[in-house]
Amino acid sequence: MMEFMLTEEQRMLRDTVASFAEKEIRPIAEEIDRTDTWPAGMWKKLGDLGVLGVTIDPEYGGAGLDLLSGALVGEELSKVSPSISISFGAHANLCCNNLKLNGTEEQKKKYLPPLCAGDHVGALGLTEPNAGSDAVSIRTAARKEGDQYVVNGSKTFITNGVIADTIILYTKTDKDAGPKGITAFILDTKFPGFSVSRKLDKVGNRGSETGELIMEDCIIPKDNILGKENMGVAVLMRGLDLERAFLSTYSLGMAEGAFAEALKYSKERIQFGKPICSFQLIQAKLADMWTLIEAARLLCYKACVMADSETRGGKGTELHKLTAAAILFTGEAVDKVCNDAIQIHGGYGYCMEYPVQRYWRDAKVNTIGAGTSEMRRLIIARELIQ
Amino acid sequence: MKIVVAVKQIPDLQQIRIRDRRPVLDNVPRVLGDIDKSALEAGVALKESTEGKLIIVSAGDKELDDTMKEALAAGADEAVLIKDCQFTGGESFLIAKVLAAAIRKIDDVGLILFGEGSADNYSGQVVSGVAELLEYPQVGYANNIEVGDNRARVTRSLEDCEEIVEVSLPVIISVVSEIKEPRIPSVTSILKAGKKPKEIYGLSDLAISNPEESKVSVDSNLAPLSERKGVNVTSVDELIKILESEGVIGR
Repeated sequence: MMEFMLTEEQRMLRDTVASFAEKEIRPIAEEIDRTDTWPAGMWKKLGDLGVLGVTIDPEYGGAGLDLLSGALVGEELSKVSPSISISFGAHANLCCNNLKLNGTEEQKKKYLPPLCAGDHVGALGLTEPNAGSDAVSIRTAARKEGDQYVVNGSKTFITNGVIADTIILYTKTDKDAGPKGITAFILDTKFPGFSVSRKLDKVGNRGSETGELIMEDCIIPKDNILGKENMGVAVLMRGLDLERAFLSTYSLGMAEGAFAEALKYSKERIQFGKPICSFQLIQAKLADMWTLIEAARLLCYKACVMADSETRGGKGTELHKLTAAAILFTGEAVDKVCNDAIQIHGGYGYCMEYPVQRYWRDAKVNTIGAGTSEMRRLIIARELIQ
Repeated sequence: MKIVVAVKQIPDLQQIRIRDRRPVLDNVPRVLGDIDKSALEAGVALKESTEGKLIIVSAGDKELDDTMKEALAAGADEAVLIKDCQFTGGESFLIAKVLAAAIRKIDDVGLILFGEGSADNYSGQVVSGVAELLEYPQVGYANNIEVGDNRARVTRSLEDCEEIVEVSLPVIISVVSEIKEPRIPSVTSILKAGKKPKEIYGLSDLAISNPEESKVSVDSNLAPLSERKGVNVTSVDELIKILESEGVIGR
């Protein structure tokens, strides 16, 4: 059992989040999906539970726990509502954890406490309409003017973008310098010139409000540079390995949620006078799904443990390969598990009234977001070959 | 004032399988019963209103610590644990003797709370045993407790009415599960739980000699056989009449 890898506190944390998810999220999970609306008050509830700053030091209002603990929170939330989990992940890891790793003392003191409390919502703004996998080709430009930067450009596919208060924004401060011209900023969405142009109407993870953002002569003070000018790619790369490890359990939890529905249905559905779990072809599917989930779990947890113990990530490190492998494997596993879960449900799996279709729709983004499966394969191969 | 809540570590009832008409308890994880969680939550509320201290007391075997951390995370300040392998499935009166002895060692106890029965056996015997041994009054079926002026005002949830009694402290109260909805512990309280003080006793520390043979043995534990009535009805009105006559509806 995986229990050997978890401390007692981690097990208690996992159980507490599981109870929270059952009580506060499960009763509204379908409604969140149907209305594509983040439930009112949920950020504050997550803040009071103490999970939003799960990896952030207590002096800034966090719980000071390790990455695996944070990933366990994401996993338990995802078992019930992947939408809530992905928004949690973007907030707690993409935003808060990046601030923790790269922020100055003043920046951390100012921005982290309300993020940890659930009073502010965090996001990461990297992807643009013309820059997805080719992240370093972003075009959002930041022009220095005295003590501030004037930012122009747009971002898309930004999780929590619609309602965020604090966004880690990647810009080009030197457009001719390629990756060496990228600067990361802490954008307060109240800064003049920032707006949300629209909320994207997604197939899955509905309720996690994903936005397109516009910066039109948006003014950001120079004190809000995260890291150093033109050194944004270091911030980016350092964050990506941790992001992959952390988010791999979002995929894992989703697979577990879909599997639980399929197993339950297979015991209840009677055909030919027997529950369908009596038939070998269904049994084979269940066995394969379960095994895939357990294999993914080992990879995910190992990646999280390694992410905490290694000081370096990025190219040339074991961590870089392993975290890519964890999210690649789990992202494709959840796709397969959800597919089989629908199959086991038969016709009812194809109906909106059964929850299994929600997992199936939510699953597809797992081979796309936080690096596509293709990019993840290239990352691993390049590490192997060099 | 100190408030004591007595809790019991039980097997997770959802994970028990039946084999040969008996429950299989091997390798079933241990948890805190739901009714104990309600009693704990009631204890936390009383601790907050009286600015007192909340102490959990429990008797169990060497695996007791895990579940007790859960109770500390729920808001208790300290734990008093009595550990001995004989307590697994231990007889009610032995447990009552042990808990009473441990509670005697705590000073300034004003209230002792129990769930009205444990979630596994539901014998409801231990609370009365402890009350008798400590010579404290006992109030049962409490669904509300107020404390002030060295007295407790307890609302008892009875079948057809609610009874309000006043009793002077110290008092033992057994509560119904509706008394309070247990809160979900926050991450901070989980992290603090491990650092809270624990007092651990063995049987010999409490001057209780090894018990003689158990006076009660459980012969079987089965649900009663129910046969279907097989009554046919031809209309909704007929169905309603029958249900009314059986007292199922219309009370």
